[in-house]
Amino acid sequence: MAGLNEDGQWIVLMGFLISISLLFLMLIVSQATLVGQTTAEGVLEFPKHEIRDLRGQVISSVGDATFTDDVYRDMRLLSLKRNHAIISVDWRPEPDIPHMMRVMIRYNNGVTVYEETLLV
Amino acid sequence: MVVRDGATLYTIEGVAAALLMIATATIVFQAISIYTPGDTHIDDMLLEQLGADALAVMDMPRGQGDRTLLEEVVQDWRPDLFDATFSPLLRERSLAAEDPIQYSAEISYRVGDGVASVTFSDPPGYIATGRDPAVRVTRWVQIHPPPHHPNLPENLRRDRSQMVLLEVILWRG
Repeated sequence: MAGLNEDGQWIVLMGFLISISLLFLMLIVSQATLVGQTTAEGVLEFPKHEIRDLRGQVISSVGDATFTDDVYRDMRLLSLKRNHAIISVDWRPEPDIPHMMRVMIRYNNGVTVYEETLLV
Repeated sequence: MVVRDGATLYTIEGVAAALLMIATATIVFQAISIYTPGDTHIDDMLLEQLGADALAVMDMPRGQGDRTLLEEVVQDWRPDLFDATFSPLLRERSLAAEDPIQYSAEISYRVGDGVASVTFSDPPGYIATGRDPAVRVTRWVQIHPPPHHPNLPENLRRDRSQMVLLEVILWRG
């Protein structure tokens, strides 16, 4: 092997180093798309609009005294059949404060559970 | 083995060229964005937000104790007025052409222990391709007893205040 040309070994070595570093960069880039997808799915799955809508409607209906048992049954059934979520609203006069209702709102769609008690 | 130092300049040139290539590749790949299937969720999210916002805007009371526009259009069964208000909220953009967002609205209400649904507003003129990914937004609407419009569904109770669910399907056409 004495006659083997040893020139240019460094260039070959650098070639290896660069190709390996490119491989790692590729791995990082491919992870980025996965992270984006799971984040977006997590945000999409969270029923932000449903909870805010339920809350706003219950507060306004209890506030103007149109939240009857029938209306409550409407909401429970429609929520279960159309939005696949169980809701429960409990409203009763607050004993110590006149003209005030204590409202308890519960929402559960199997993934997200929300509960709130407030005075209206 | 004798290590000669004859090609040192070539090696340095190789390293410099490699750095230059990596820098170029980095700049190029950062300039473009690759739209993967996972990114469609971001568009869906924006569309859902837009629809919920448009419905929330329509569900603003006009004054203290007044009804909202959304309650009025459902109670008086005015799909034309709903479309005239809802479509611009969805489609209008500043300094750009209209966003071709399509929608279909349905109203669900309770009949005894069951649920009945009826189409409220479904603007014609869109031919579905079968591959139109849609998002769904809902809004509670309370209907107060009198007066009742004759166009309201037959089996909708008219003797009491009741809650109906407005469901809107949105997609980009």
